[in-house]
Amino acid sequence: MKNQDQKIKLRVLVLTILTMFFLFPVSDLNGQDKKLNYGNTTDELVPYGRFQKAYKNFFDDVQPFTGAGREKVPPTDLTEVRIGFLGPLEGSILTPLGIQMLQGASFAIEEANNKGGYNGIPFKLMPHNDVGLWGAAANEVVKMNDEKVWAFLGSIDDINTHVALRVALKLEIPMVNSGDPDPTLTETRIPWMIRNIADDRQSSYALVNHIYREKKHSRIAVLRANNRYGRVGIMEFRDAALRYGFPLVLEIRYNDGEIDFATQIERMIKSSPDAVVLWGNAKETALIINQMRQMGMEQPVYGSDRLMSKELLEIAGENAEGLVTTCQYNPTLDEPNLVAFNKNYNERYGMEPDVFAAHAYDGMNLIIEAIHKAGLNRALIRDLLTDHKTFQGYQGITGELILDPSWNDIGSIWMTEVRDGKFDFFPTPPLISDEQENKKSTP
Amino acid sequence: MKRNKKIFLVFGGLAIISLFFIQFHKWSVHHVNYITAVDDHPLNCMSCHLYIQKDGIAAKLINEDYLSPYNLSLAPDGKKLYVIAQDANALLIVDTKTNKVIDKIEVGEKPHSVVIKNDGETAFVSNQWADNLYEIDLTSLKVIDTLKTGSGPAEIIFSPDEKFLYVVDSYSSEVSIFNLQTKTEIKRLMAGNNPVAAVFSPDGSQAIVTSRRTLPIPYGTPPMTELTVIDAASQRVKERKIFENAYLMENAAFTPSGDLAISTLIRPKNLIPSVQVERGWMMTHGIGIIESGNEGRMIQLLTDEPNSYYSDPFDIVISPDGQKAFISHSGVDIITVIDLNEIRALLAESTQEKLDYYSNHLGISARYVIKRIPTGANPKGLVLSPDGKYLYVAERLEDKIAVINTETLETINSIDLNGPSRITVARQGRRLFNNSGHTFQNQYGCYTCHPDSHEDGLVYNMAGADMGRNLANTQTLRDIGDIPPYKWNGKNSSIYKQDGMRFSTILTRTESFNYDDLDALVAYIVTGIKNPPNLRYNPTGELTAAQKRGKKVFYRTHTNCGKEIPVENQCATCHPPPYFTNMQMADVGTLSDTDDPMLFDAPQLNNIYESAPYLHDGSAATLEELWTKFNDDDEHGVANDMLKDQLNDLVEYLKSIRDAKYYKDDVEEYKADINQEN
Amino acid sequence: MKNNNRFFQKNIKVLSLILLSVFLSGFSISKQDKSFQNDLEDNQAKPVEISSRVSPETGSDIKDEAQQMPVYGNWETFTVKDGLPADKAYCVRIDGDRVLVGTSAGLAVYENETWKTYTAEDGLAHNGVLSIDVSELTGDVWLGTLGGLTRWSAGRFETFTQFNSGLANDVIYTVICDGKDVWVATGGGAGSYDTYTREWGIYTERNAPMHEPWTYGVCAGGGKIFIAAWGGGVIEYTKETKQFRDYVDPDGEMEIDLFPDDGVIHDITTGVTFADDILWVATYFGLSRYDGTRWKGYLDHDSGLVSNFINFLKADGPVVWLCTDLGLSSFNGETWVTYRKNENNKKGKIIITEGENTKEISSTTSISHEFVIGVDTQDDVVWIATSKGVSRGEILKDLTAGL
Repeated sequence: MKNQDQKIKLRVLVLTILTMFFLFPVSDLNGQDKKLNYGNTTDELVPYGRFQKAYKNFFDDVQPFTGAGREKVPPTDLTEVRIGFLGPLEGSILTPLGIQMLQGASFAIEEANNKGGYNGIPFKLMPHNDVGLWGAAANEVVKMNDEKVWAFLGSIDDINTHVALRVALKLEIPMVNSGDPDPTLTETRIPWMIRNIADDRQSSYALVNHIYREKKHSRIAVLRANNRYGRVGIMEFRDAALRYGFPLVLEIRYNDGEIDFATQIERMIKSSPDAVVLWGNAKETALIINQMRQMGMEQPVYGSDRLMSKELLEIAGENAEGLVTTCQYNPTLDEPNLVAFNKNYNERYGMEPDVFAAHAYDGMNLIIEAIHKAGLNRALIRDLLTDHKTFQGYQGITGELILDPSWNDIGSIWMTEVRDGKFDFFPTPPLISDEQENKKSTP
Repeated sequence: MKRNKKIFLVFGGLAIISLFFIQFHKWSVHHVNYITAVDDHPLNCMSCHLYIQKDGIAAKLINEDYLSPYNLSLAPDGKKLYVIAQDANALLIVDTKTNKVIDKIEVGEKPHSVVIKNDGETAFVSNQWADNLYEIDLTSLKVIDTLKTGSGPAEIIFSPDEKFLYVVDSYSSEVSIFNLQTKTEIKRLMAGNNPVAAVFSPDGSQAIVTSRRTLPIPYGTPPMTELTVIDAASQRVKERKIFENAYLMENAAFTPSGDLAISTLIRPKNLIPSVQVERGWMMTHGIGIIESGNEGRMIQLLTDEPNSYYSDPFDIVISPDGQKAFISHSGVDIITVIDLNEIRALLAESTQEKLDYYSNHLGISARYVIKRIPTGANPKGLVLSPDGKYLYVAERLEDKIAVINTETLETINSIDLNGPSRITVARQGRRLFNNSGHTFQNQYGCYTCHPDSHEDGLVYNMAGADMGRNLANTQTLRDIGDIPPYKWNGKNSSIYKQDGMRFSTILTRTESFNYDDLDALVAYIVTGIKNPPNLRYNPTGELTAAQKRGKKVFYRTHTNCGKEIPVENQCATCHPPPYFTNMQMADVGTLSDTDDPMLFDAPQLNNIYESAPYLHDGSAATLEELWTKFNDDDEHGVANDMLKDQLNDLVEYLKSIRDAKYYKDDVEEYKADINQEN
Repeated sequence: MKNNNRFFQKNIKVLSLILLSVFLSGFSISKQDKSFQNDLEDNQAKPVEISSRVSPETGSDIKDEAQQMPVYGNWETFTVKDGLPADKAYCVRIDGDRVLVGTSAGLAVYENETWKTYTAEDGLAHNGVLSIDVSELTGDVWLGTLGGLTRWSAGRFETFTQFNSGLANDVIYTVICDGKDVWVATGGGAGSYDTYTREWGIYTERNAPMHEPWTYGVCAGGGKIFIAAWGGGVIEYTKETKQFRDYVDPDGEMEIDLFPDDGVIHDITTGVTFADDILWVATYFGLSRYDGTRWKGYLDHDSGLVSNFINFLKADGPVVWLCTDLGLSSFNGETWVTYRKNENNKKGKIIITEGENTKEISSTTSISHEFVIGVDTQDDVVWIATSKGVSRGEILKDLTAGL
């Protein structure tokens, strides 16, 4: 009896240990998932979360596409499989980024064609400039439709990408965005686009966490570009800062192409910030950093993803030391695919790939793979790209793709700091919750 | 000594005078030869320095105020003839029994047409340059109401029940429909391009509206001119009949039975090299017919003859018995009489293919033209007496009305409207301008390509021996006296040169004008052709908000990005007020592959809104296209930084630019700005 | 202890199962959370669960205005097989005795029971015809296409593009005629064209309270023009004063609706329509109604609206028609009637919702496809444009007829 009891006890013990062993990670997973709101937003950063539960959360579920089109029979007389490209190719300050993006996309196409294209039919990239006169993006997508592309990649500029997305919906062309981090782009419920680059929401959360929770700054002044990238990009940062209890002490703007920022910097000095956030393109930001240092501002500088650029280092030189930015991937990782891409790209185009080239390469590969799997049918290609299965966890050279219900990439994001004239990459630290923050501050 | 001194002084003075005279003569010869581009001009200083005076005492002395009867209407009982005196801004009333002018009513600027109500008590007159109608009580002879219309009201017609009035807005290419009970415009229907005339079918079920210009057509294609059919019941356009290879459909008429609707027209061969003129058939003239049967078959037939053309057909009337049609040919001062039964027979026996062939056939007219009746200068409007026995012809440049007996087909009377008896040099020039006598076989006059002394909207292959080379868009002749050089390439330094030797060599292919005629023609062109008021886009001089913004764009010196625009690439550099041309040559990057190399004379911009298509070869259909299609490299002004709404503003401003006389202040402002910058 | 032991002894298997199921459920939850819902299967028009979940209407004025709600049926469907140039139809407009349908391959005109197609070769600005309106004054047909604006007047096609005219942008989502004026919602701003003065207006963030120039819908009514500005809510333009004002989502957030009925549901608006002094606003997030004083929102979980994803809407008197991705809903302020297709037997479904009561009726005929993109009504007839064909329905005078 005693033995039996012991046996039972032992069984219960083993079972309990086993159960606990299995349950711990599960509860841990569940615990973490409980915190995950839309867009990786922590509870304290949820809009109005401290005061009111929303009547409706729009992105709890997935918007299906219920239209016709899946029944369409693929053509049999094709000599090339066309894939569209929309980007700033000339006439824009974003042209250098657009060229990198085009090269990244072309590189993926070339690789695919070297492997036999689509069942022996070569892929053909159909590039379109989104910067044409008198509002070109919408018309360019219409042209792509007339060219009978099966999907397209684009773009970088927020406005043009939004316009293109609207037309993509009407024409029902699958779209992959690899270069526009505007958070609102995927908040439209249009089931024809996925994004494979982290957005400004993720950048903002990373920066807010780093600036306020890790570096303990409290007075932040923002100087941003007076364009949609600057305006929309800073929105999530501003809101998150406010929700952490630190409203911005100043938010001012400059126009693209400006070279003298004395007025704005004087205003920043007057606001006595203990750190500065710059949100804009690399060139102007570099000039701002130089002028800030010149005018005696020694505060730490943080900035948006587009600052992670060679151009910034060239213009700002030593003044850039200590600059912290976000970046949607880490190009220095020792991942074989990434290393190979960097090497081959450099050989092919005589330059290092940037973030737009790398994400375009991944984005184009998603399209190519979707075409391979779904066949030549736009609706089926769309289904595949958006099914949250086929490409969920896709390992590209830019990292793991995690799509949320709005098909936004909420995978990991990186941070960089300029050290010794180079960008040093480090993983984004986990967001520090209010609870953890309070624990830390309580002796 | 004293005597010697006197002799010395006299001879010295004479020598100085001689020297001065010799030098002056030398300078005069050089000057005249330069201006006229010939070396045998009689050196008549008055040619240029008197006859082309636009204002002042001399101008008043040498010119006269003519009447220029244009269109006509008869009282329902035929006892009174109402005559539009186009240049006198008046409605003249003629007693048809005594053939005397018995009354004159002042009307608005540049009246076009008059209609009389069935009760004979009310008339409506369209004032083409005032954008309104006058309602006139014919008992009291007073203007009792003014109705605002679209732009350039021309012909007016009543609906059969006289409850509605249809007005053809010739400049804005619409038909305004007025409810006569409420005196309100209830709608505007889109018509053809530059419509002028309208007529109701005898059964009152439909109205047709003819237009003069081709519809906007793809560059390099022959003209297509619309005849608009309006359904009377719904008051909507029910059909648009397109006459291909035709234009200048000035007027139309229905036969009393309604079996035929007939319009005058011209068939231009504008895309054929102009060397064709000396072979004939460059411009042919005739009628367009729509049958009520045969599914509305459309036919074109010529009224010309081999080796003899009857240019510029204007008005058409049909006798009450439906047997004859009368057409005024204002370019050759002829009334053509057509036997409509022959036309009917021809139509009945011919297939469409055959009729298409006839549309180019110069000999077919022998079958149906039964008489050519000569008239005074420039016959325009026609009207038949209610019984059909008399045809009244407005002889515009004669200031008379011819009366023709329609039985004998002879002119039986001439009603003098009491205009000036003297024919001035400019009036003579106007007659020459409107007459085809100087062109090989009378194929066309100046008027043909420059209706209303403006432009016909066509592109011509000028002088080139090859198809499609050196295409030239017809330019306006309005107010061009002070803005040499002429031609798109600016090769003609004066109108003398333009209309002298070059004119005969390239255009008329006959003897050139003698110097008296040339003096007259130049006098008319310089003094007699004015811009209509820009009532459509700038009626008062107060610019709209968009136009004001556009004006800033026009005069801007920096791009949207703040970059300075090179002076030569600023709008106002080549287009300064008051004429908005610096009269200099420039390369704006619009030379086409089919052009010989040349620079372009900067064109004036006054009333530019009514000069479509644009550019030397008419390749820009609209003002917008100048910058959206033909300015890739910012050669025609820096514009590629602009947003679309800025371009719209610029276009709105350009459309607001009116006659040069309004821009004296702008000139001073502009000069002041330039000086300040310098 | 002994009892306890016995308990364990007796129930060890049960306990094991419970523990295992807890473990498995935890695992499955975690897996579900990570991968999200697979919508591939849902794509095949998953039926909407109709139950008594509908909350009662709160606005008494809505009830007062409600009239008897007509029910349509006897659906007749037209596709390529019947003469349409393409199955995908973007819009439909009834014009007297004929019906105009904008498809992806041109304009189709149904007259005397036959279809005739007009394409770019005939003079259309582009074969993709997204919107159609007819001028009541002139009878001219205005066509908003993917390549410009076309006026079709008694057979003559006249095209306005951003290159040859003052048109804001060539992609025209909506065109309407308002007296002598024509208004368009384009990818580059809203635009107006005065057919008398020929003046074009462009309304963007530069001169109107929009964030960006993207517009999607436009309607006229009550002396005003309403513009559905993508991301900018609704822009109201008062014709008399030429003043603008905007209506935006008060919570200012894209991902939530904080309070119901506090304003337009979402800033991304897809269409506007005005009738009987009521402004209706479509979004991909639900429907909003504005009576000039108060806003009221309708979502698929709190009303008879079949789907929040509204492609287009059109009000005709008290009834608003809603083209959604899951069928055609209609609503008169009190009663919802939704028309769907039964995928199992190709018959139709009519779902009637009033307050908390929902009734589903099977009908022998059905709309051609549930992805409805355009609608127009006149007298007793409704026409719809769908992702696959167009359908014509008529009022069922006796509700049982045709069911």
